[in-house]
This record gives sequence, structure tokens and C-alpha cells, in this order.
Amino acid sequence: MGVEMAQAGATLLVAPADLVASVREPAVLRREVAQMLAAAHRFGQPVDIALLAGDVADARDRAEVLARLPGVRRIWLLVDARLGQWLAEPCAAALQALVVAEGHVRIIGHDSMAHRDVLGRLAGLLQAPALSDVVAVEAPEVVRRPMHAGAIVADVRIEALPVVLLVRGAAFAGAAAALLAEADDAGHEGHDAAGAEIVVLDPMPDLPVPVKLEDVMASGRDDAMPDLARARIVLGMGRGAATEPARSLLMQLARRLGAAVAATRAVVDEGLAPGDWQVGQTGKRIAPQLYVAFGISGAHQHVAGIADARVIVAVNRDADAPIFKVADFGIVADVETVLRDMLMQLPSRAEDKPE
Amino acid sequence: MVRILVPLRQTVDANVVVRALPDGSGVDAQGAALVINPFDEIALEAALQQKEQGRAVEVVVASIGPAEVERALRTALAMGADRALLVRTQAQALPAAPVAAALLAALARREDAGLVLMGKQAIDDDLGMTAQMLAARLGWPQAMFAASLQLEDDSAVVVCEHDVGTRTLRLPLPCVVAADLRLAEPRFVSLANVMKARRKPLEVLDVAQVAELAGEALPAVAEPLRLLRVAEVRQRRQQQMLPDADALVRQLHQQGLWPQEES
Repeated sequence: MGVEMAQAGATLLVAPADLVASVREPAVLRREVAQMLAAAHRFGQPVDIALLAGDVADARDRAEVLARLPGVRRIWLLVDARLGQWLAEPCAAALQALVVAEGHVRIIGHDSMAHRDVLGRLAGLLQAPALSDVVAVEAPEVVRRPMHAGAIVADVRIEALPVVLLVRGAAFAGAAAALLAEADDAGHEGHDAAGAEIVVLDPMPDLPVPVKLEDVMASGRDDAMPDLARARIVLGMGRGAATEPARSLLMQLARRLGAAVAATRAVVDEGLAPGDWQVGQTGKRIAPQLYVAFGISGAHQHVAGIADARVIVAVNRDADAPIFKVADFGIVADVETVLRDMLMQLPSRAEDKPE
Repeated sequence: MVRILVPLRQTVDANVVVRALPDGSGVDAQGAALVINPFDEIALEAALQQKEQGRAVEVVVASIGPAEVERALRTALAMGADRALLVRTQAQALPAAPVAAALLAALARREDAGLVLMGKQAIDDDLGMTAQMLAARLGWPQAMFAASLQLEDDSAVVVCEHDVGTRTLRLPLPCVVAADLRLAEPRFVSLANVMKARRKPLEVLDVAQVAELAGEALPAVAEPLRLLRVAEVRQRRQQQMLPDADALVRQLHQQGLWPQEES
């Protein structure tokens, strides 16, 4: 079977796991699906969306949010009480039933831990290849992804279908914005576009639930702090900023800027920040408008996680720190002094109390 | 008590910044130090601790690849693994993840493993898919991104890192657990243990033998993903040094990245 021939067939996009409160916000859900959709459209085949949910009302609410995104053929609601917790075994089994019945040849997810868990298992069930961290679709059969902590970028040809692809949302943000604008324009002009067809998968196959979810612990992030993966400004906490008094100053600056705080592996390993703050090769990969690295030396494993930031600023006392090589702006100075000075430079607000 | 299978992969040392070959056909790892993939090393450490605490009967390490991979297995034996399995491939390239998962599934069955403990990803291709594929093939439950592991009589309690916060899962055995960074701190290997490891059993198998052994069909397409070309990534940043915070704030103002005075 030739590769060209094999590329035909519909694409299934799996909506993000809604375990995180912010994904339940319609605007966030819409934007993240638009990012995956932008990648999916590059394959030039019909696109369906799969929505996994614990109850049908929740699934319908989310489907309504997504129904008017351009270029979506059908939204499949996979509804079962056993799917609400995003455990890999039942979720992968439900998706497998849909993919086999409908003949989807590409399954696209988000490069999140929830999707790595579920869609990695789905790939195993389908005996399909899978690629994580896809940053570009070069041709219908060629995708681009980083390797070796982002030191290398590789073009990979897909030679067997079905295939599971996990895409890095930020890499498709531009095309996603265009899709969202298109959807909004159609809405404003009163074009009552038919929108995607919403279908409930019925019957639901037998879903195994061997694993018991015993406990869920929220992150150490307070509610006011934006999601690390979605924040416009992120302040990075390295060893040189993880202890007092620099740490409190950094947290204060983050609150005032509405920024999220990220940490390096060293800081997390020493128990100075929770695991889900970690950014880097094996943590989160973020793409804020501004990343300010405080007291971070710049190991390439950390830099791999911030490479997509629009502006990178480095503050470090060590002029030879490698972080300066990957920064747009650098200050060689004491971290604490710079934090104090930045706080002084913030416009005053009426509700601010003096220290 | 369970037997723990720890599949491991040999990778370039994490401190080496690799280069692309001039023709872009692959990654130049010539002369670079080869080590056990750090996440697999963490998994092995966690497995050894289970055995030392009397919760596992044996720790078996396995790797797939060319003859050189034997070095990683010897290191694992020196760390304390009881025996090693090498599934030898003809090619230098390691098999694709679906093939590796099928071979590892065959080994897990042959060894009657109660737990497969492995790294969540290899630091060379950064793929992070093999553990889940293996669990699916075996039809065993999985716990990804494990930060702690407690083995009980017939189940494993695993605290897993998640996108936000952590989740605690209870899995019936047998199961597959994939190690994240904080599951364990790998031990150092003493010279005495290196010497001892030379006498520990290392069984060499070939791919066809392993597949046949457990009746696992290998995926029809051996190379479903073909590496077309690779390139080095060059960060293009201004690298402009500023004297102090005032100068930085002025720059951020210009870029619209600093709050404006409320008027």
C-alpha cells in the first residue's frame, strides 16, 4: 500500500482533559481545541472531535462551545460515569471503540500528561505508532518534533496508519487564533452555519476500571495564580531565588503581575516547589509572552521548556551562567535587589498596603 | 511476592549536548558517553528498594538493541539487579516503540512479572509512549509519572504526578508503572559490585525467538515512523545586557509586558 493512498481517512481530535478547572472555562476549552484543530486541518481530511465526560449534560455543554469551530464534521460524546476521572483504561477503551467503528486514521491529542497517559494506551490498543510533542505538520505524512531536550528538531514520516499525535498547543497558536476569529465573524454576521453534528456514542463498549483513584491533590498553586501552561507572564524560580527573602519577593511580584511561577528541577527536587511547577524537558513546556528567569543557571533541560517564550529575561549574579545565551535581556546582579527594584517600579494601586 | 521486570534503554549522557550529522540523517553520538536512560535508572532504583524491603522476590532488567547495550545491563547488575536479558537486534537503530512494546510484553509474560517498572520517557527521543503501549498490549493497568510506589500483597499504590497536582492510584497486580523524576534517587555503584556483576547471569535472545516464545505478533510495519532529517536548534535571542531593573522595566514597557500606570 503506497503512503499517498494510506493518508486518506478522517482525523479524530480528543478534547482536553477537563480535570483542570480552567479547561472548564469555555474560552480556554475553545482555544485549546482550536490549537489542535489547526494541526488537524493540515492533514486535509475531515475532522471529528471526541469529548469524554462523566455525564451527558456536561458533555453537551462543552460540545455547544465547540460546535461552531470551523471545519469540524462531527462531535462524538463519549459519556459514561467511568470516564469522568480520566483513568487511562476506560478512556482508552472508549476511544478505541469509536476509532475502530468510524475508521479514524489519525488521533490527535494535546501534549499534556492526561493525554500522554490515555492516548499512549490507546496507541497500544490500536498497535499504532505515536508521536509526542509535535510542533509542526510539514506535509500530510510528515510532522516535526524536538528530541534530545530540544537540542535537535526532527522531521518524521508517518508510514503506517492509524497514528496517534500529541501536539504542542503553543506551536499552533497563530493558526488557532485565525480559526477562532473566523468562527466569531461567522457568528457576528448572523450566518447560521450548521455547525458540527453532535452525536452520542451508543452503545458504549464494556469499560474496564481496574484502577481505583484513591486521592487527588491539588497543586501548591493558590487559586489566584494562573495556570502555568496558560499564563501570559511566567516568573522562573531557580536555586538562586528559591530561598528567603528572594522567594517571597518573587511570589509577591508574581501576584502583582498576575504571573504564574515556574521552577527548575533542582528547586523541585529540594522540595522548595511542587512537582507541577517544573518546566523543562521532563516537566512542562510553556510559551508565555514573557519569561523572567530568576537565579536560574540555564541547563539545557530547563531551556527546552521555555524556548517558545516570546521574550526571555535572565537575572543571575553569575555573568557566565548559560541562561544569558538564550535570553533577550539579561541583568548580572543580585536577584533580591532586582526583585525589590522591580516591585518598586510597579504602578501603585489603591488597595496596596505598605510593607 | 512479585518479580519485577525493569526494561531499560541505553542513551547518551544527559550532560552531552548532541549535534546533528552534517547530512541531517541522524544524531551524532560518536564518542559520547552512554548511560542507562536516567528515568530507567530511577525505575531500577525503585525496584531494588522494593526487593530490599522484602516486597519483591527478584529484579530482572531487560534491554533491546545491539551488542553494546550489554554495558548498560552490566551497570544495572552492578547496581543490584539479579539477572539481565538482552534482546539483540542486528541494526544499530533501536526498534520503534510499538515493536519494543511487543517484545517487552513477551518478556514480561515469559518472566511471569508481577510488576513492570520503567522510565516514563527516554531522554534521547523524548517520546514517552512505550510504557503505555506495553501496558495496553499486556492488558495490564498502568500508572504514569510515578512519584512514589508502595507494593502491597496484590496491589500497588502509586502517587502520580499530573498536569495540576498529583493523583493516588491503586492498581491490581500485575501492572505497569512508569517512573517520574522523584520516584527514587539512583545509588552509586561500587567497584566491588562492578566486579560481582560480571558473574551475574546475562541471557542473550534474538528478536524472532522472543516474539515466538510468547506468541506475540510483532506489528506488521516494523518502522511505522521514519526519521527523515534532523537539524540543530539555534535559539536566536538578542542577548542584550541591561544594567539594572529600571532599564529592564523600560524595555518591558515598550513591549507591552509591564502594567501601565492607571490614570
